[in-house]
Amino acid sequence: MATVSRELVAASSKPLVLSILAKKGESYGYEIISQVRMLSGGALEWTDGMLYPVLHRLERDGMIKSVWKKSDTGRDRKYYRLKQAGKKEIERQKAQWGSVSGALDKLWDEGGEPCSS
Amino acid sequence: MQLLEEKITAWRQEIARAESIGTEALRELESHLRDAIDAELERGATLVEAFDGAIAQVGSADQLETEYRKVYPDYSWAKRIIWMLSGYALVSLALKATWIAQEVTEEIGARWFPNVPIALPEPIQFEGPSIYRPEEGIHRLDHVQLYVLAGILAMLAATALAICFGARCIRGKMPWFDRLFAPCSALRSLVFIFISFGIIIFANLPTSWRLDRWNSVEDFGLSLQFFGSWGDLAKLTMLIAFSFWALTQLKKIRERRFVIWMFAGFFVVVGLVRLAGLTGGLMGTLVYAISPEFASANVMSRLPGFFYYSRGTFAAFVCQVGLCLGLAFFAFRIAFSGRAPKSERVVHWLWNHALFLMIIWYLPQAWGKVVTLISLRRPMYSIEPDDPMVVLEGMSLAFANSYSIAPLFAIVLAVAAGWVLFREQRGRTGGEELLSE
Repeated sequence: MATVSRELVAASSKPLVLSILAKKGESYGYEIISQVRMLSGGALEWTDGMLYPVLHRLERDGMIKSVWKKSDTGRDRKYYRLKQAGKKEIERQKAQWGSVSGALDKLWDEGGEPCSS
Repeated sequence: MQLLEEKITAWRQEIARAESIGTEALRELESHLRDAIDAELERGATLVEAFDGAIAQVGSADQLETEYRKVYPDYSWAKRIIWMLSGYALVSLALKATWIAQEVTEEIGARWFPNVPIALPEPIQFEGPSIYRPEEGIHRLDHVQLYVLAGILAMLAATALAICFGARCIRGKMPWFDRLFAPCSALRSLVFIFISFGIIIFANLPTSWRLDRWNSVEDFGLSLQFFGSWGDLAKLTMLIAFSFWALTQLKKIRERRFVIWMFAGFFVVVGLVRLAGLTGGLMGTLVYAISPEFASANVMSRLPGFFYYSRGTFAAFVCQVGLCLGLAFFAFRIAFSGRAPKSERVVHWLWNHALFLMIIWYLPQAWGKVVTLISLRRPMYSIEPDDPMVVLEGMSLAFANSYSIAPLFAIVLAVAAGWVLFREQRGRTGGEELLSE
């Protein structure tokens, strides 16, 4: 599988994180990044350190909230959970990515050149 | 396992230096790192392999700093501004303590030492401070009170003793203290302090030099002025000593960047205050050029008194602005790059030539006195109060001395820091930004 470009990785980080949180209900950094790797089959190459600024930005924008908890192993972990605004944002992102994906699908499924001149 | 903990501690210390990563973010990263290490260990890696693998996943300190800065672009500045304010506050407090010490010394001195005129051999006689008060005309001061000299000597001795005694007691027990005095032996400190303060007092007897008598301070208020002048320059000396110490600690500063921010803050404030003073002086000059009567009636009469400083003092102020802002620039450059512009040999040169630099610092003032004497061909105290040049100098220096501007700068800095923190708390609007270069 081809590696996704840096720009696209950055652009897709928000919907990916929000959607993972929507699916799991509550999660922490390491688990989220493992999910991303697994789902993309390694095509989405994130450095782990890149995830947290995304999470912090989402939290600051009021889409998710966080709480420190003890994990099963007794280690302190910061767990993130989706807020109402985050759920709405997922819908918005779905629509946006759907539009992009739909447009590309149409072009590519037809097997033609994106534009002919 | 102990090895692993040591490695994690070292990693944490390295990450903590990144300016955009706060305590909580670091805690979260550490938790992540431990998870990653556990996962590597489960895969059968050795401790070292697991640690190295986890570090590679998390990213280097620089990478993390780059990523976090995208989200917290102002956080580093909030931190820096707070350190800058702390630096300014810390030095100000230390200086305030020296003022209090001066006043206490004076109180004690005034009680125990009589007001005795001092007769010195002619070649080393100087003139004491002269002060102009509009309502009283110009004072000529006739005696140096013994307690003033005693106070100065006592303070010098106490400082030197404290350093020697402190160094002896603490050496070997407190590593930071050893480092503080690493560049100089106790004896060298002593010599440095005595000579430098001697130069200050010598260069700053606040009037012209005369050989026929040692004029003096008449009363407590005037002696305070004398002390004030001394204290002001002691302050500058502290500044220089402080910066030399900082420069000798460059290695440490590279590791703890906040220290250099503290210095930068202090230099900026002092430099700007001096600059503001000089600007005020120029404005005063302009007012006087337009209307001497207005200036005399509205500016001079409202100020409690003027020192007659030499032109050289004015030149010295210009030098001090340059030096302070230059040091600030130097500090900023170190803070941004994390290293000195050149090798540490520069630093050692600076330390070794501290005395030389001190002389350069005060030379303009000393020269100013000489030039004034030669050009006027009369003692300063006999200058008429309405002599335009004297009035201009007096006004300039009165403005230049307005340390009351300092809190204003501190307030501006505090408001700026507050605003940055407020923005961090609130978060910026939009939420549309994506992580991109």
